[in-house]
Amino acid sequence: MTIEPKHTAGIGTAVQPKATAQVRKRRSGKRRSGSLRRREAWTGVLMALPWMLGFLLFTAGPMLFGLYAGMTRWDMISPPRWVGFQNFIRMFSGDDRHFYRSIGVTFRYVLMSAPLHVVLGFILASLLNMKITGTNFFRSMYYLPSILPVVASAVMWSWVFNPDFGLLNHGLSMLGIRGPGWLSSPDWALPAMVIMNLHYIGPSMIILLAGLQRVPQELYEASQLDGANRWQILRHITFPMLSPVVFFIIITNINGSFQTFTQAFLMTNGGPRYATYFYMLHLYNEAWGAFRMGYASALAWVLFLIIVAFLAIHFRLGKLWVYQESD
Amino acid sequence: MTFNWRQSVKLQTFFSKSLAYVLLFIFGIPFIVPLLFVLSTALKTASQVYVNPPIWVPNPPQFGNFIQAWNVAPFGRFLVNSLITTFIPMIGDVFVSAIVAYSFARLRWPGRDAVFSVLLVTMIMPGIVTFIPTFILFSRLNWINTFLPFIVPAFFGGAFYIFLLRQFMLNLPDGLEEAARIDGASTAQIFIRIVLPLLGPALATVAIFSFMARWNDFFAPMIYLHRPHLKTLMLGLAFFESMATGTGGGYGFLSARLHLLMAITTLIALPCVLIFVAFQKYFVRDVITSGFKL
Repeated sequence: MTIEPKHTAGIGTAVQPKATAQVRKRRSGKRRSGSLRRREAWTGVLMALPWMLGFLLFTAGPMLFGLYAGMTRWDMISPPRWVGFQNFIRMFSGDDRHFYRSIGVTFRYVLMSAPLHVVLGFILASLLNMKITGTNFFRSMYYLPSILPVVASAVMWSWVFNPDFGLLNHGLSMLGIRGPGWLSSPDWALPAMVIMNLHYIGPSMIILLAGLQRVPQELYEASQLDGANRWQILRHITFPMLSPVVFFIIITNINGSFQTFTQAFLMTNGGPRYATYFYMLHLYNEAWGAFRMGYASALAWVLFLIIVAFLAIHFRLGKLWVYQESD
Repeated sequence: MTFNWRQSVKLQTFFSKSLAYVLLFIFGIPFIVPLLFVLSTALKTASQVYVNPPIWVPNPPQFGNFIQAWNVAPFGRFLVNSLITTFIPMIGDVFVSAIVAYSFARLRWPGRDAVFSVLLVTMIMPGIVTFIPTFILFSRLNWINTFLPFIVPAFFGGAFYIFLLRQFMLNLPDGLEEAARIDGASTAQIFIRIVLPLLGPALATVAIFSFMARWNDFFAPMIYLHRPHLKTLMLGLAFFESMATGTGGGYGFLSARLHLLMAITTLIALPCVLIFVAFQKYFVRDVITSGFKL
């Protein structure tokens, strides 16, 4: 109650310049004659035209064409043959043994990778948020692997995962653990990819750090005065304030793993025994391996719908349980 | 009493800060040591590579490995191709996106906000849904084994870059532009003389993002560039890896040329590392912008 007047006063002063600017704009708009405004509109459309054309040529057009192609059988040599929903039936009925398998691999990967990204990202962000000297150095150190080319990273991790001479098993042997065969083991190949993906934690960490820094300091001070302990502050202030960020990271992870291709292609090519057969790898093999362009287009559309579904959950459901600032 | 209390708080912060340092170092090991392992392998002789426990500092370091590795395959040619597929599209990414962004940020035209919301939607759409049809289109145009699939689409602007530049422009004061307009300057003049110079940092951000995306890209070059003399560095590196380790991916490989593979990997990753070190703040800031707006 006592805080309220102060609060509104703050908002009032902050908003005022913006409001006058808006008034000014409206006035100048009124002063402008119709022909000037028409010319502005033409210039505007003209300047935005490249993107609008690009959207039609490289996004909307191909998407619709892809939907059509998804209803055909097409090897790119003979003309496409209309088959209706047969491609989708083949997919979902299990005729294509690799469809569900690749979705399974992709989801298993997300289920391991996303929680690790959130938890490790949160730990790193909290440590970086402690305002100690050298924060910038540590932040760069953790971010650095994220900017490496995926091809270079794949080469590096293949070497690190080498069962006999690799760095990882050497490190484990120092702890007295005999490491597995990693990429050559059907059980450990996917966890190995998850470990590799942890090297790309940089953006998650930075977003979590920014989220931590956006938590109003008064909230912490007020709860400390009220005698809350560390766990209570974490549970009732930090976590709820971070929930949109966490949700964003999870969605990005799902999105990313459905588009994981290069490292799986180079490091394991889906093996051993399909343990790392990601969805994109399946799509690639159908399109550019077997040249089943029709079926691959159908796979691409299903992938698109899966991601759109998660984004829809992100935007709709997210509002129910995620704390969001009302600004 | 008060003195003691203060001292204990001081002690507490001292301990928690020390603990933070220790943890930051321990967590840092898996982030940095693999990179050093690659660098160290790149400086070894072939016989020093498969040794247990590993040699960390090869003595003497074999700097000649870099030159030798560079000549294993036509990496000079690959470099030229990488530069072409990175920097020419970058011009489109930066300047065409800036032109489009200006229209969305400053000019009023019917349907603008609707078009912009379409742009936002395309930003979060997975690219793969357009990849196969675009590939079919480009192969019908006989653009396979040319650089056109990289260059032409870039000159229609990129949704994400347009979004970033628009955000930046909205935060620019528009007083100068208004004044120039009253003085009778045309939109083109205002854009080139006033807006572009103010956009410096934002254009740099887009250039960096564009560089990273295109220099590191593997999928598109693999699909569009099949002839050996057209391959980019990433394709060359992947090709060298499969050659050095035998086909079938990297698992369990033993190779007589692993040190050379690591040397070329180091060279190819180096520009990215240098750009990151030089422009860190851009990475940090714009990851945040893109994250919170989604």
